[in-house]
Amino acid sequence: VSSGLHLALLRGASLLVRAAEREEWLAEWSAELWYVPGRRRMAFCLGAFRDAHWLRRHSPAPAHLESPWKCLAVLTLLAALSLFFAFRLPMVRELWFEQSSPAGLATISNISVDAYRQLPVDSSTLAYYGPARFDWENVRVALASRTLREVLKIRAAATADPQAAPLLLTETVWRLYFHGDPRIVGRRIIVEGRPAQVAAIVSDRWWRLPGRADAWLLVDEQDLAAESRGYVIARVAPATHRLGPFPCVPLSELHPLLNFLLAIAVAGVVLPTVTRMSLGEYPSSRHALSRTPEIRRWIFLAAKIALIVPMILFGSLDLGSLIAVVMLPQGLIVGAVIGFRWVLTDQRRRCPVCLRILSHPTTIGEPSRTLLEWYGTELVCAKGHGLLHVPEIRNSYSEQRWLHLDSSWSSLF
Amino acid sequence: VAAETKLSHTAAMILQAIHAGHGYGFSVMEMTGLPSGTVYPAMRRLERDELIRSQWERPSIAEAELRPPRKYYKLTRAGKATLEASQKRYPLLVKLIPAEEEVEQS
Repeated sequence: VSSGLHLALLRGASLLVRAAEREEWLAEWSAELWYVPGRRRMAFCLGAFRDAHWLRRHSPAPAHLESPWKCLAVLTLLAALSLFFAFRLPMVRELWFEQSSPAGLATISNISVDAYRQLPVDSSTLAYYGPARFDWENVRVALASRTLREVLKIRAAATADPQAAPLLLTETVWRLYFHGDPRIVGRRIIVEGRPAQVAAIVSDRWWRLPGRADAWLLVDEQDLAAESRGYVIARVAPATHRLGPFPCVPLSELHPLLNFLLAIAVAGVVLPTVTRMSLGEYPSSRHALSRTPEIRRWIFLAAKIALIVPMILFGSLDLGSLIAVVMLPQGLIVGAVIGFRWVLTDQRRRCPVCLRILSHPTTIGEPSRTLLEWYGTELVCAKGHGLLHVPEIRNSYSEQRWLHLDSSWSSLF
Repeated sequence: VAAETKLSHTAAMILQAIHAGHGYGFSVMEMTGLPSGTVYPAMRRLERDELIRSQWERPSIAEAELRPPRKYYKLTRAGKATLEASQKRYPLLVKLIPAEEEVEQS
């Protein structure tokens, strides 16, 4: 198990390395891991992240992001994909379009039945339901605890047969499979070999919770498999964010747009701590850019922001709905910080004239004289517009600066 | 890269360790006492500056010894010249990391 964990860490770190170098990098680290004694393996593997990060920083930019047009095309494709998945995933649709969520309800995602049984909360205010587990005559059926009726305040008919599990059907299923039979409530049917009795017909738009199904079979708790995982829904006091050891999210706080605006605000505060806010204005340059490339740079920046925003919003929604909806607010914040950090760093490493990513990084100077002399990396625009100096240690007297090359240098490029 | 390239003490230690016969990453870590997060990026920098070069050993050798193949590092000509300059700059370097043959003889 330990070795598997260490290899998983190395594989995780290898994702930072460019694809062309990844296989060899992982082979070297995996081979070296073999020699490391057990107690030192974790520290060894954590060092791999630093190495991978170094390689990433010092590798040439991928060709598809080098040109500004290709960069915008890739961003457009990713934004479109995140949007496409957002509208394909049912839960994202619900989160996005359902403006009013049930008040006083909170949800926990991806929780086991065993953990649900041990929650230190009054069981009458708590219900478990799983994702749609099986198809019954092409109807997606989810198993739920009997308390779902009380928690969601469903007006359902009492089952005459104590052996039969109450069954909730959506209106579409009722019309499609039972031809809108007005006497369906109370009818005894067999669902997946178990007796059930239709207890209520609910509107298609009634279900506003994570996890989608066409019918819900309400069973006794002991009939729920202990290891299966699903959702818990609970009636809680306002602003409750924890049920026992589990974080929960009040459904009224789950609207993505509100969370996204909050994430943007938080990212605005956090961003200066993770990157410089400068966009690459280089005060030491005596050759001020003319108006046209200056405007082009701003348009390019605005286009990147316009494309990164839907990627953050819908990408976080997609991941949140697939992994855990309770992580949605945090996911949006992390996504916003990473996304906007990339926008700024990408803008700074581009030629201010042609907007292509600068290439051919060269180390200039001596590490041992960092504080006294120039030591850093110099990048050049492949079209000969200039040189970018990036100091290894940034301070007030050694800043990133752009050296404009005039037409007399053109014969070199 | 010019022979007079000046290295930091850490980079010089790593170069000396490779020259002393500690040819793969973990061996360099053991000899210098530096963590993996320092040793491997420093070796990549030295390789990028053409002071060392790397080569995977033949799988048959590793298989015979029932271990995974190692990626060995060796000093280039420029690396040897730089190390000589570093040894003058840091005189304790050779005493700190003697060559493996010298250790065996003593």
